[in-house]
Amino acid sequence: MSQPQEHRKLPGRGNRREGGLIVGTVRQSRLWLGHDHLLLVDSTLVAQDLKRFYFRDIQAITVRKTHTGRTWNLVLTGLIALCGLWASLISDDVGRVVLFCIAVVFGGILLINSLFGPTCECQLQTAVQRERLPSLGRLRTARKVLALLRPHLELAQGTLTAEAAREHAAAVAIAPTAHAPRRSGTEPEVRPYRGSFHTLLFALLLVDGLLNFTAVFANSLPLALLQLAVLFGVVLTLVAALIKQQDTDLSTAVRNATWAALGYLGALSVHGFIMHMVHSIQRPGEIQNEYAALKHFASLDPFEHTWLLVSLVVWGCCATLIGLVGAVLLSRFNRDREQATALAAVTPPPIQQSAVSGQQSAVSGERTAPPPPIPHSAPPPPIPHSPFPIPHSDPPPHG
Amino acid sequence: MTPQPVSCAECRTPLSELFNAGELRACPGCGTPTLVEVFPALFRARTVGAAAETIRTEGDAGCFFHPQKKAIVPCEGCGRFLCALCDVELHGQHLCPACLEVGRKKGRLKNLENHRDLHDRTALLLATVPALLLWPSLVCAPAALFVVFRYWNAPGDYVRPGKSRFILAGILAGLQVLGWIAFFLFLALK
Repeated sequence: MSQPQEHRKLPGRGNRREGGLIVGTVRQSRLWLGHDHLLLVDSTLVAQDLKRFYFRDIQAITVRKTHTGRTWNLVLTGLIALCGLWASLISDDVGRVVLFCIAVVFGGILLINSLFGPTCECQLQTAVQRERLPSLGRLRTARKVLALLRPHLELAQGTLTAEAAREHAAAVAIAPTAHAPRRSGTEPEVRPYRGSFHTLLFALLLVDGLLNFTAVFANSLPLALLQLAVLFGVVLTLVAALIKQQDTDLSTAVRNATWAALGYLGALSVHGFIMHMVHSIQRPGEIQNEYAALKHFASLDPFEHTWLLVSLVVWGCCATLIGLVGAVLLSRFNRDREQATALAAVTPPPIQQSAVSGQQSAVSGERTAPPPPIPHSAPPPPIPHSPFPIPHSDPPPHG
Repeated sequence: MTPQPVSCAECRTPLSELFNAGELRACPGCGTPTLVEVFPALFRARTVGAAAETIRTEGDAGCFFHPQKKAIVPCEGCGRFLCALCDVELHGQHLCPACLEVGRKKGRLKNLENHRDLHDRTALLLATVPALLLWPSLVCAPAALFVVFRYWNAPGDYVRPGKSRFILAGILAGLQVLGWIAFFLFLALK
């Protein structure tokens, strides 16, 4: 088999993510320019998937600016500020150097992200598909690739000015509500889900909040151990809930509450890590002894240590709020779904109803009531004259 | 047949006002800055496939797959007569669906190829990553050599063809195998 070498690499590379955050795949995506087509190559470590878009078939390329780059910049700036703040609070020189190095790494990423410029999402449309092009994730790259592609496309199809394109669009009268056809193979199947793991998750979060408030008044080792056990349960249930909610009919609000629980756990982990680091610096003898650290924290009186009091109250409020909101949203979702199911069961579909009434009348021999008259509707608007041939509306050729 | 609209990926609003504006303009639906480049193919009417003609005159050749339909062209792969329905034209070649499928599966029609297993990368992975942990290379180095010899003639990377990964994997795996042989010989002699 001949090895084709006629492809030229186009700028940009990106990752195509499929599936969810936990169960999903990531493939590296690149674009290559062939003599009569654009080749999209999605590569895993040991395989390549190829898609060809022939120049004559490409209808449109849309580039939509996104906020991903700016969000990353904000997050990285926050992390640098956090490192700087932390470095200013500690007195250890080694710690300061370590924090400075971490800040430099974040700063480097921030600089690179800023230099690459704003992010975007690019889509290519043909008559039968609409394909995302992950390699064109930066606006500058997308413009560069568009400039490279345009001569090839114009050579294959001809030129089209902005005015002509708008006139054609108006003449063809593109249906404004029509959606792009989706390929049947790629559409995930939506499963019904009652949210049992989510119920457990929100209940555990409420328990966690309650334990935090209890610790304000009665901080002790058994309570700390119980809190740890509950948190372990929250982690397990959260992972299960995030996996289960994929491709289900669960409402977006409940999903967001679940993601908020993940955010809560993440923030709690960061806080715990910082506390542990501070404790390790203050008590070097207990660096490898987690149980001793736990005993130490459990022996503290929150009313004598303001930071502990604030931590317990803040985390208690967060856990209670997420648990409460999640539980309310989940119960509302289940109630709405039950109502919808009940309504669907009571109201038979109209075709079946007419069929049943027809059968009944045939069996009993009685005349059924005639259907209500169809109101006279206005005639359909005339089809505007189109400069392009419409295959189905053309009269058949004579002879 | 109307073309499918060019719409915003976020809000599905048609973007006909932004066609070929040459710069980012706000989407009428969600306000996101969007650049839309459209080409004449968007307004081209879709061609309808030819219908097969029924045999009317005695002596006309019939299609291999539809004997009652008139043959118009022989398949360039197998020579079978084909009607307009069965004739698949691909880059100037007239093929029957069976030859098309065989060509796709065996990789003879490179323009229909949509997946490639990269055995050279597999071999390189087997020759490098397990070697970092030392002991797994006892199994993985011979496996890498097997992949190199078994798939030497198989097509590699579609856009960057070459044997460099195979050669590198072969050398690394060979050295590891030799190292293990030397190690076991040393143990046996000791």
